Amino acid sequence: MDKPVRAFKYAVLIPYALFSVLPFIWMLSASLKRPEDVLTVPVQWIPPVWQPRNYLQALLEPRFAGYSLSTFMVNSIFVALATSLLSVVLSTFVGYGFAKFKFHSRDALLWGMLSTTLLPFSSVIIPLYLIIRMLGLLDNLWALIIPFALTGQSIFLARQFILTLPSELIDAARVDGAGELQIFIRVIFPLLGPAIVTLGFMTFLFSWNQFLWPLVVLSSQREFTLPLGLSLMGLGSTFLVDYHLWMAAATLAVLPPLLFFLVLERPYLRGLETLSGLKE
Amino acid sequence: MTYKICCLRRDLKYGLFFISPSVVFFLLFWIMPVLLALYYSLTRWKVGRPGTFIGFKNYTNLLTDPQFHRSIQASLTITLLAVAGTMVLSLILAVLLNDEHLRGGRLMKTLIILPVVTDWVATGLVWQLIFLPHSGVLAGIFSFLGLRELMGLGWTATKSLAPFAIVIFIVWKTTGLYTIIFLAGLRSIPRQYTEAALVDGANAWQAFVNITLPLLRPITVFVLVTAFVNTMGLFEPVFMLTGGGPSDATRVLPIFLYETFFQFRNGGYASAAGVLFLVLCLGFALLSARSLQYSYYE
Repeated sequence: MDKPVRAFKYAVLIPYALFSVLPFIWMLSASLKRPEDVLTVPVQWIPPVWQPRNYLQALLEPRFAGYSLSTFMVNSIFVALATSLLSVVLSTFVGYGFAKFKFHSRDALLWGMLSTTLLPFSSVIIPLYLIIRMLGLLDNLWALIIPFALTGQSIFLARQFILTLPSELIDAARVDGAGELQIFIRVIFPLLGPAIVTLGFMTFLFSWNQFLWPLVVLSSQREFTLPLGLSLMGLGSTFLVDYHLWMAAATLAVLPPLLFFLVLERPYLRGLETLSGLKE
Repeated sequence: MTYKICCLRRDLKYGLFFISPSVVFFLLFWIMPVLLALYYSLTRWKVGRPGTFIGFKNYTNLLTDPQFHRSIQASLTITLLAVAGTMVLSLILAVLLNDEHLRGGRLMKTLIILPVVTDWVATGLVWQLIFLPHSGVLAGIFSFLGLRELMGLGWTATKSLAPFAIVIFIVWKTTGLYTIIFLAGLRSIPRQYTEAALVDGANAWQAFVNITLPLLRPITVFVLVTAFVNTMGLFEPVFMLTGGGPSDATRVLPIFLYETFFQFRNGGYASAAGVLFLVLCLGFALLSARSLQYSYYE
């Protein structure tokens, strides 16, 4: 390709890539600064004095009614892992039903479940809150796990992956006398390695980054997740203008998803493509 | 023949067995909430007290409530600006990245997706400091560029600027996602089509407009619907940057719902607003449903 075209590509792509990444670099830099170095004109991209103890202070100081960010971090990890595990098991189970069995109005049912992804979650948050209250799960971490352990998206994702497995495998197992549940556990599930990584990671991201729902169902700080703790900082009352600590906390919150993403970029992109209907 | 009947039965029995968890979830967490919302929307109900049936009064009140009007206006303004910005940007980025020989292409793709995988609250804290007047990051950049008079702009505290601050944050956070989807769409178009047009004497722009864009239509519709619905439902960026102010300029529907229910405890009224919100998104989705279904089931 000719040079001017390539130069034009870089002239657009490089500034946008910088725009994407600079807020993270600034955050990381500010998280290592002394408070007086955080907001300066001109912007200091490299801390003049390094202060890594900000992280310990942000993580361990019990500023939230006696609890610290480390408690919230443990809660976040528990919720995200539990949701991902449940989602992997449940969605592959259900996805297998949709992919490999034919029955009346199966596709209509799948389409109906998939259409829930076209409705914004925040529009059903009030009645959902009432249902969680009826189930007695208010102010309980399981309220953040159960409703998201099986979603239209995760079912569709699992179904698309299972469709690609040859049905002959299932028939062969039947001839050998295996039961239907046994076939799922022994034959199908072990073949879903890459799909499980994709599904698990996408659910992990969703769960880890959730904010509105925990804000609605959790009330005691012992149960708070990381984003809730961070939002309390932003409201100013607990941390006031300790911007260096805000940024240390924000860095701690974005680090797990970013690290996982750098390792799992390929399965994640594959998942996005599957959800958009581009890969069978 | 007998074999077929056995299999139909087996498929029905075990098919239903395997999908049964999804039926429970679907009923409990989608059908029930929607039915409950419909029911409560017809009552006058303060949370914590029994409700009384009042018919469509909540809906007629909403339609004449100036705050609800401002809320819809704020939602539509922010959503339309953000969706337009994200779609144009992500299509451009995807077209430019659709070149396997571009050096550094993979790295730039990775960098562009980073905001997508992180959360709204942590990045919201960063954007709060970016937008801070006089001493924030943007003010520092303005000063570096010699635009000192722009340093004092109250991005999140001025009525005319606050929606734009939120739109910028949303565009930054979501463009990577749609870039990836557009990129996958572009890669699914066989190269021969555009190459044939180029051989026949079309220029690159003509080939893009007349061949690539029409072939990309299903994916464009998918991105449009997904982006519209996702952005309409966003609570976090507003909560983090402006909290709905100044003077309702950014009090979007999710914020309105949240405040009406959890702060003012107006259960019936909030439910009615939620139902209207659902109908708005459903209407938009149905308008584009045909093309969507095509892209899922081709």
